[in-house]
Amino acid sequence: MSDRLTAIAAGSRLPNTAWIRASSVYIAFAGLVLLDLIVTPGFRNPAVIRSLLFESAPLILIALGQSLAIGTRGIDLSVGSVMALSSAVIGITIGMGQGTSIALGIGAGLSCGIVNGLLIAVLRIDPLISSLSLLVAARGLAQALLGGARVDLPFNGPISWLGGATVSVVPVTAVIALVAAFLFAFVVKRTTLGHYAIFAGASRTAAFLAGQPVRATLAFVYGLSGLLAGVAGLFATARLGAADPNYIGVQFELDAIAAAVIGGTPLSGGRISTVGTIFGVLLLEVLDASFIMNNISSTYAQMLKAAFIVGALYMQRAGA
Amino acid sequence: MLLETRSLGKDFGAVAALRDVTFSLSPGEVHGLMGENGAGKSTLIKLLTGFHQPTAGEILLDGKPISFDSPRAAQAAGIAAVYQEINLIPERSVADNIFLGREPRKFSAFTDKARMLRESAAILARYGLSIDPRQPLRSLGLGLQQMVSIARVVSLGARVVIMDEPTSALAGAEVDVLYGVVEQLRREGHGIVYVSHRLSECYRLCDRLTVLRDGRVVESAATGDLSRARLVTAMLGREGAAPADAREAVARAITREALPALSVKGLSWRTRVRDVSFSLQQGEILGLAGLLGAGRTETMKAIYGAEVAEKGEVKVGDRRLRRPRPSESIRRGLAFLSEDRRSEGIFPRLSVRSNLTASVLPRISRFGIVSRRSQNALVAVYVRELGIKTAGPNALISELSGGNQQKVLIARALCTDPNVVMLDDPTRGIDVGAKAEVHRTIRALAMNGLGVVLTSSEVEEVMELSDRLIVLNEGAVAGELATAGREPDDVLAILAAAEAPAV
Amino acid sequence: MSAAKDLAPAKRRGFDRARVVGLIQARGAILVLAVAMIAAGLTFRDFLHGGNLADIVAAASFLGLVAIGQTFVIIMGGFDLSVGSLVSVGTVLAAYAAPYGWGAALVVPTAAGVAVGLIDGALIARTRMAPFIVTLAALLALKGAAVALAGESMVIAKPGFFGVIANGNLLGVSNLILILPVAFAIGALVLNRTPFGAAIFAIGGNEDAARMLGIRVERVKVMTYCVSGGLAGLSGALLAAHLSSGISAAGNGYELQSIAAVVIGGVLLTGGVGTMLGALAGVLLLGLINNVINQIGSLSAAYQGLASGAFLLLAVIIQAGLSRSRRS
Repeated sequence: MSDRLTAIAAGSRLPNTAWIRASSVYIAFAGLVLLDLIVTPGFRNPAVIRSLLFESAPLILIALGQSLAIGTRGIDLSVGSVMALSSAVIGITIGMGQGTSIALGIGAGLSCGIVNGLLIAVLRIDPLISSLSLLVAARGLAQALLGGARVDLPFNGPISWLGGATVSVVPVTAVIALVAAFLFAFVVKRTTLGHYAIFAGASRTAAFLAGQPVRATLAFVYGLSGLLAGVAGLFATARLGAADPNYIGVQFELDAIAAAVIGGTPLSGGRISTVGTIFGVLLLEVLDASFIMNNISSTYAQMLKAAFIVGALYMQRAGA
Repeated sequence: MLLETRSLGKDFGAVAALRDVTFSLSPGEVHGLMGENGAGKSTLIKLLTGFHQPTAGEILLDGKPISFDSPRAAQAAGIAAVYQEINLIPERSVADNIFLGREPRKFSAFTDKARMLRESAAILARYGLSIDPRQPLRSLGLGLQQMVSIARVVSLGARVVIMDEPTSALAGAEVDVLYGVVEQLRREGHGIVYVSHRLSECYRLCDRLTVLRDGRVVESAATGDLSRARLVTAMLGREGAAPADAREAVARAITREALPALSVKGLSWRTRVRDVSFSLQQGEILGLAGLLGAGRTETMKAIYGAEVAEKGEVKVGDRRLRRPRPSESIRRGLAFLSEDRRSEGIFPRLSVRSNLTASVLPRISRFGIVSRRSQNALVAVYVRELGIKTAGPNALISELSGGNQQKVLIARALCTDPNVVMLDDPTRGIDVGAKAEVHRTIRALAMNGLGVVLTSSEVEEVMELSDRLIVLNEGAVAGELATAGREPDDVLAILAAAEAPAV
Repeated sequence: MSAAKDLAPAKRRGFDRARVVGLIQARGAILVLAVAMIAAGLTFRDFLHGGNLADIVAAASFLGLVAIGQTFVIIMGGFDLSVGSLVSVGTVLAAYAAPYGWGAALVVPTAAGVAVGLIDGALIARTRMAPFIVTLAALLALKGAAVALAGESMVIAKPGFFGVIANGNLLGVSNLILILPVAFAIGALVLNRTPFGAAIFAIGGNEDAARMLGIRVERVKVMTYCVSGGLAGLSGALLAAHLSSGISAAGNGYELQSIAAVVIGGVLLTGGVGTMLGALAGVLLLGLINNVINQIGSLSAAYQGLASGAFLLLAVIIQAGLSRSRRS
């Protein structure tokens, strides 16, 4: 056919554009940081960096879970609400001791993930629909548990420590998140489970015919996403110093999805980029910080950010 | 003459899909269009319905040359096609579906439901279909749904109706209803192009038959003048030169041991696999032969567990496959290679290494961690053994040629250390050199004691490779023969003699 | 001809089962609503009082308008998350426009909603981006816009008709209760009796087939999102009248509530199936639950979210189960 022609054309075209698109998140990040260093007052202040990293920690975790789900050609819209649920559980069980309530909070996240995974793998519900329903249910449950009100957490103990502790300029939660990212990358690249997830995203039929445990893989993927959301909820709660169902995890879903996709994990599945996801998170956080520090009111900031995300996703789409 | 094509040709780049096709259709004529996969039938249909434009020749409607720049133009001119897949909306009512897109209006803004129902009922009655137009489409059997498609097409003013494999999913009484509709269409003066590979049907319904092969017309005659044998020969034909790998007239002594490598009894799946039974010895190559749509792929998939058979028993060696599932089959030593490499075989975007070791990850990993070294070792082994031309294990599978991709898939199956390998058209779409290598590989497998089940879109190929052939016709076993000393004509004879199986 | 008749008895078994399933999907919510009403009436003494029932209907009218739009979009195979912020923006725009007359106060928010729907629809239909991403981004962007526009809460005077809608009384019962039945009746008419409605069902049922059958898929998609946006804007305008002010957080949660209501009402999230009556039942059911939660003093209003979430989850699971049994 015109196969040969296409191949030649592709061969000459491919290296250039693919390289640019694959590194686009790094280029954008570097560019933005550069811009901020020049333009934004006070950007070099270590306090800014610290604050930025505190905000990034929970987002890194859920973005990782999201990239895994997206890698299987699925999606998890429930992560923000699961964060809120985890926070709520911590809030109401705080009396049982902080260690216990932390465990219960994370456990709540894991449970949501498992429910999601079962709905998707066993009942064959579309991940979009399943996670959307969980989004509503989990936040509702979080609201109900806390009576819609904020519950302040004690000033001492591990939770409060998590909310403020740093290793020089890097918060402990960010360190944990980065360690988690490292482990995540390892799982994705080197373990059978990680491979199965990528296979399932690349071609679910081929994976099935090749004898792979597709359904078990999906259940695991969404379970893990829920677990990560649970931990993210803990981090956000610790940072806030309170369990607040109206505030924790709100609108985190879009950020997580955007970070993953902009970072090079296409919505069509089959490829997961852990490093890209992390930079996607950092890019979004720096974007937020840029708006705040340049005194762009949060409302315009939100509009700009939404436009940016749509634009970036559109460009990824056009290539992927 | 209602519809005519003169020396119609279509090229896709350097590939000539259709060449010098001259074809004609009169009002009230049912003209059968036949041919195997890749013969050019669907290209011809796409040209007639405006999906593509011809690169040579012309189409004439009512004796006047005409060209369509879009499917809509073809529809407007009165040419419409009805396909196997019901391209309608199952949840909507029959009347809704018939009038979708051009509903009769009341007060110019609202749909005139009463008129819709009335006119739908009238059309349906005209074709002898007692269907309540208010029913949702999905409540009808597939056969009746197809009738609704036809009713829609006719109500839109189609004068030429092209039917693509209309009875492939029908059973029993539904087929008779379709025949009735075709008769009515004929009486009303429509021209019908009837695409099918069910010989008995074509002989019953069609006035003329045209056979395509490799994009050309090889036979075109009145039905009465064309014997079944000649028809089947025309469809399957003979290739020019046999591949350099001459047929090794190896009369291999296949001892019929008590325990066959694979035993299939009474396998049934929907209407596509009907009570199929056979057994396969170790070291034997068994070919499944038959026309397109005979059920070869479906049979293999049912055995493998990719489709869940409703009835039947499959045994690999002495172990019965209880829960039909690919992972189970692999575990028991049964491997399968799909004919659809692109969507059911390779993992696009992934590396050769990933593709090759996709079925054996648990065996090459410890504590859940995949051993990259073992993977690379496996790749090296099969690259050498099968002659896979690739830049390395890291290369993307999409960079490999079709033939080499197929070798990777064969390697994937072999990694699982199977006792039986089922290959569905393994040489489809690969070049001659790679084809020869695949043949060598298949023979080597049998030499090593594996049982091989094989199909091919070319009868010569399956005869050349197989020790024994099972001939399938419309899902049922029509005959069996040992290939030693036989000619493809013998297979054709079995096919020609086969009756449509009783339902 | 007799051959066709032969087919009928053979199909009877499977036919009935599919029919029953279809009936449950379409009418199940109404049944649940009826049962819930009876249960609530038995439990709470004042529940079945006319005034209380009227309150439920009136309070549900704002969500109801949004749910009508959501029904259109979901049946078409997408969904619209931007409506929550559109309602908020609607209230604010209505407050700004009120001084120019009640006409402006109704038209401006609706037009804004249509405009947003146009952008959403164009992005979704032309660029094939996922509806949830586009409308989610719109939700967030508009949330910011609502806050930016609103500044402080604004109190508005109620000129003429506006005041009648908002606080007028007909036979001792708020005028608002007229909105739901009228709006749903119009919605049902458009959905079931116009070519536009037929096209929406077709696209949701089998988009490729719809395209092949000659339906202008892109155009219909854009129009549907315009309808959804416009209704959300209109709902905001009426809400502003009712609250006598434009509030930037007025519509929070409407997007999820409308989806929940509609899904509970039997509209399949996979598209192609649904009825206005079911959607109405879903809206009223949610309204009933909220009312009940309010009646039980001990449960805080926070339980409303949980209740709708739990019902949604249940509805999704039941829908999946029903679809599977129908397929097999």
